[in-house]
Amino acid sequence: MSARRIFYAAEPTLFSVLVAIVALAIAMVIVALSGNSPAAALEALWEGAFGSTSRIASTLNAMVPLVLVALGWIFAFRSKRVNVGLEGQMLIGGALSAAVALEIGGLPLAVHLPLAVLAGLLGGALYAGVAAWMWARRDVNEIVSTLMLNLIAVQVISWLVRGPLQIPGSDLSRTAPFPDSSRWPQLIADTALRWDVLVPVAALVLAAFVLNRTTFGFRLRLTGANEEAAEHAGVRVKRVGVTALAISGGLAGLAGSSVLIGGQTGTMTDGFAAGIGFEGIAVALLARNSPVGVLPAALLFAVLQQGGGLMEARLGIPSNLVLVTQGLVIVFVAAGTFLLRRRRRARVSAAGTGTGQGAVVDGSAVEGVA
Amino acid sequence: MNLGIFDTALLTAAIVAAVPILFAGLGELVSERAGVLNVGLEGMMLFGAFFAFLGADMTGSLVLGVLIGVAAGVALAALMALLSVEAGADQIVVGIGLNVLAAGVTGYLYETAFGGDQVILSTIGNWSVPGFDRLPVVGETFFDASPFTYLAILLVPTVWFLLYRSNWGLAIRAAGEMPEAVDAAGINVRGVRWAATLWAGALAGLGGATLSIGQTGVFTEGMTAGRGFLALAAVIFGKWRLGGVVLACSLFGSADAVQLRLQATSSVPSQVWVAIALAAGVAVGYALLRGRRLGVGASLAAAAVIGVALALAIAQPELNLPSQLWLAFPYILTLLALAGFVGRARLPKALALPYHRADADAP
Amino acid sequence: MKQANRNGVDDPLVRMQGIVKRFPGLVANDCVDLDIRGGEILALLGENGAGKTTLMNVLYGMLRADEGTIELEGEELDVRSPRDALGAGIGMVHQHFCLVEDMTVAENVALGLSPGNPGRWQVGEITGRLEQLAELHGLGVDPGALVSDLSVGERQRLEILKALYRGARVLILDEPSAVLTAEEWRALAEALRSLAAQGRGIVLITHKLDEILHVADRCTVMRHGRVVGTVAVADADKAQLARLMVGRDVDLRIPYEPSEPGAEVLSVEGLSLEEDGRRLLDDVDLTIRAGETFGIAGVEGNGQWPLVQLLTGLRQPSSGSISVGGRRVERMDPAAFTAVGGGLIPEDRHRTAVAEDLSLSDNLIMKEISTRPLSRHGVFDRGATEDRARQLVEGYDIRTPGISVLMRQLSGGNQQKAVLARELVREPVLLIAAQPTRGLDVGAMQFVYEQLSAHRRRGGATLLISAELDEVLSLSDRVGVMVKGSIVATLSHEQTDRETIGRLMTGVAA
Repeated sequence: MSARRIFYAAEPTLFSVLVAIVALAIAMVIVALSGNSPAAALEALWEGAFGSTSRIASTLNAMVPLVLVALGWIFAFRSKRVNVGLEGQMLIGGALSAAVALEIGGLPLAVHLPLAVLAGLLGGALYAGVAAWMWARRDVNEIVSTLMLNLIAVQVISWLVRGPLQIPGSDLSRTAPFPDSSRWPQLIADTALRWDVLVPVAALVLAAFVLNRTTFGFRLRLTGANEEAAEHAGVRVKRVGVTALAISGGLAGLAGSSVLIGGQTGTMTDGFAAGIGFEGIAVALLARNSPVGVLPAALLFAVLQQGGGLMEARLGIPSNLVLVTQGLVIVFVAAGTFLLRRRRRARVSAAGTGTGQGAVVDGSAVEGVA
Repeated sequence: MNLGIFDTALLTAAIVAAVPILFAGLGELVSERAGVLNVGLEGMMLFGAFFAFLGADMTGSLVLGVLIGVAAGVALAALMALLSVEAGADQIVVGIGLNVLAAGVTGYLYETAFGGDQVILSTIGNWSVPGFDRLPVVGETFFDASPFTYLAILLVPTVWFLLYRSNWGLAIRAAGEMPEAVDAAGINVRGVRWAATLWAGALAGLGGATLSIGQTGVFTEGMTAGRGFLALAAVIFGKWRLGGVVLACSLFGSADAVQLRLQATSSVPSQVWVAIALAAGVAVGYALLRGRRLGVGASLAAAAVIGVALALAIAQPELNLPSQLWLAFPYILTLLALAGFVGRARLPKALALPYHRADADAP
Repeated sequence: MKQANRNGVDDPLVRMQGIVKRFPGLVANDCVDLDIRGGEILALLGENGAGKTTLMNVLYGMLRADEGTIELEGEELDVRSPRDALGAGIGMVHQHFCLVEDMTVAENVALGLSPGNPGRWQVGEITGRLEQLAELHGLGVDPGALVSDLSVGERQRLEILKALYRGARVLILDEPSAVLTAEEWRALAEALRSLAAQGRGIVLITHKLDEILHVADRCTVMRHGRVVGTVAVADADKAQLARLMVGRDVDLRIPYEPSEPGAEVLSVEGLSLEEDGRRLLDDVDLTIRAGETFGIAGVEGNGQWPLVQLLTGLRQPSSGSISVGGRRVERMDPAAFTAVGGGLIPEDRHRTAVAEDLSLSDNLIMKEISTRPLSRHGVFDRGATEDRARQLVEGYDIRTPGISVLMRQLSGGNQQKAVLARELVREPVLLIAAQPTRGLDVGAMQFVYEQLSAHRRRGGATLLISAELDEVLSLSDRVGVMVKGSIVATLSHEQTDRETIGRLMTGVAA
């Protein structure tokens, strides 16, 4: 393999790394402009994420929902479906999980926990199923429908924590604490790290396997690459799309469940998803929509999240800076994806091995010469 | 006649709630007709809210504050246009990024500038139109209102003229349906979309400014609370037509106002049920008048809604609907509209699709 | 070399000289000279690929010629865009209309009329003038009607009106009758004559001899990018025109071996497809037997693609039946087509056959992936798929650095070979090959012919659709000529000759 070839193959990864560096750099510029020391800020970020066993545990714990949501996005996206409703699916999945945790009593951990986790998965999958149904049967653009469903989900949670699932006799908008039998046990005592950290790892391995080694994964990728060719190859495109969206939602539901029964607070409150549904999309984009890159990308976001807290406590830098950095990452990745695609096409045609029929513009072949 | 909760105060509350959404909605309508989907509308509103507040606080002038808020919305929209219209990046992803960015930037700057102290500015008081403000019912609501309300009302015929009577409007509408035709007519498609996006940003900024210095006099982090998405929903529910969008914003504003009012009551008053039955009846009647045939499903659903609502109105049970249902109502309605249960939605064909003129030298 | 700015009676309105236009891999226009005279209707005749539309696109500013000049009334003209062309008075109506469906007729005309003027657009003025034009030339359309409510014929009229409104003195129409009924064509012909009578130069790009004789004054014939002759229609002979159009310069020799066809593989009866009031396919009957190649000759756009869509199940027929192997298929869909032993080499492989973002290997095995030994219980065997892919690459001589390269990195010829490999290796009972050698170099073309022959020798049936007459004539046992959605004649291999087929293709009764 020539050096050039290696460079081209590595280009997407290099790009992602570059995006992360640039976004952080801009954030540090803002820090400097407001009179703080970027070095101190970076140090605080690092320490906040890795400074002690307890902190490392929290960082790892924060990665769990991010990885799951990112995988959810990837599954849908690879089959050409854009699921921006991951936040809502997290909420509903988490809520169903919480309901199972709270309402079903007297079960041992070995039964209660898996039930709650399963409920999370089902909740998310079914909620995504609404959008999937609307797409398959009514030709409704899933971008718009999932956006609306997000906002409906917010209201559902708001109602649940002030109504049916509220602590009886209390005015607070939260549920009662989940019983221990329904919560993930701690991996390292007295830290935030719980056994659910294995779930994203398993999910990653499973996702990579399904996508690359199973016929279902093949059909999914084929549908995303060329729907008509897939039809000719005997693939039922609508079925694949719906399944992809359901899996996507299920993963998001798992993420929501993890936040609740794998989290420290042990209760459900308003907005517990806290924007992770969108951060996960950023993680997936930064990982170039491939399961392989999800871990490092999620780590970056988790570091920012955890480190931001210490940065604020120690230096008084508002943790909103973390949001700014994340927003910049998303924006840069969006801009860069287009540029990368354009460079790749230009390179292919320049090398003379392009499709012999003439320029391909925007992925749609130009009609033949008349 | 005792209309229960449907008094002038509710009408005023509905209008007040609707105004910011209407601003953003009118902006997004033009933008989407031109083919640009601004998921980042929420962020633009938030920018407008914060920077208007900051501007008013720093300059001491509310008018300047509004202008700065509008400019902030435009600035964010410019970023959107640069990335999506110019560079062809995915409009949805950019929009999500802008929302996150806006939340971060406004939150950061707010804490840095005001350090957690709650600053309250005085809002512009209401301007009254002498004589008209004494009219029953409408007088107080429409003729003794905040200048933002007047502006919003004036904006409606303006947008109407812009979209349906001006040359610009032709180009805008064509750009969202068939950009090739615009290109063939010698008009720069990207220029049209840039302008449309900036317009959306400006109006979203104005809507945000309305929230902060127009209505409340304060800024709180995330104060737009999903209104940007509400505006998106309004455009969709209004089927990309001006009349529909205005109606949608009014409807959504009313839902917000009703929801707030009902929090004070213990059970849903019968007038609300009657109103629901009436609204369903009007919708059906309108559809039939327009010559549209109602499918079996839609007819049954409409009949069910009217029947149940009337029954509840008569029986008046001790029933209190959660306020969240009212808050979710606009989105549920929009979903129903999308699924085609409330008439067919014809979205602009070129919506969210970047336009690239095929290489001039391609066969 | 500017002439004096004085247009004599015999000087052409537009003179194109030495036009050369090249694309990667082919020369679309090879030193073309063309005169367009005012007051006359000029027909531009030729098969697909002759270069007629390219030439007119150059005149209309959509393409830039590599060499050559264009003069309008003696003055050199430099058109860089359709807007320039319109400004100079040259208008063009394409096959695919450029209309905004959601707006009215008047609004479509108004679009872009007053650049730099954002104000009110002049409804009254435009409506009035449109009505005038309608009166004058018989091009009536309701200015207040929405485009989405207009028929195809009316939309075409709108496109013409758009050009006329901007003062077009040269009007080019690309295959205008393709979308019209006989009635509508007659009305259009009248309108065109009226427009020409006013001194305008009309150019009709067409392949229909009857229309040329019906309405044109002169006819320029193009073939393979060159002008082969210009005749006055009054003096023209149909046979002569047909010969000019389909004659070949280079003879591709493909040996033909007669064979005995076997059992019936495909049978189609009364197959029709209607859309928007037009019959895309009109009562087609067809039978193909094992070991037989049935070729369809015809200019593109006469129903070939709809036929393929119906046979492969992408669309459903309005009437008629399809039987495979003697058994009627109730409802065909792509999966069923593959299941009954069908293979497809589509004419637009980018859209239909090939997933460019997937690897070569993925593309090769995509139809076999669920079968053993490639996969078991839903999991596929990496080693087995790679072996299979390599097998195909070798067997079909696909030039590639490896099987994991992305499909889009292969040349057109190799992509086509991959499609062939994928379809033929399954030994399909019926192979539908549409324009199988389009865009390929001679070597690749030869390879395709060899593979098609091998398939035929094996007893496979083939439906061959091609605009390359040589291909069809050499490879087919029987040839059907398709015009306006129906098969107007079926000839056996011995009966075919270029002249006859050429005449049939252009719509003239044999």
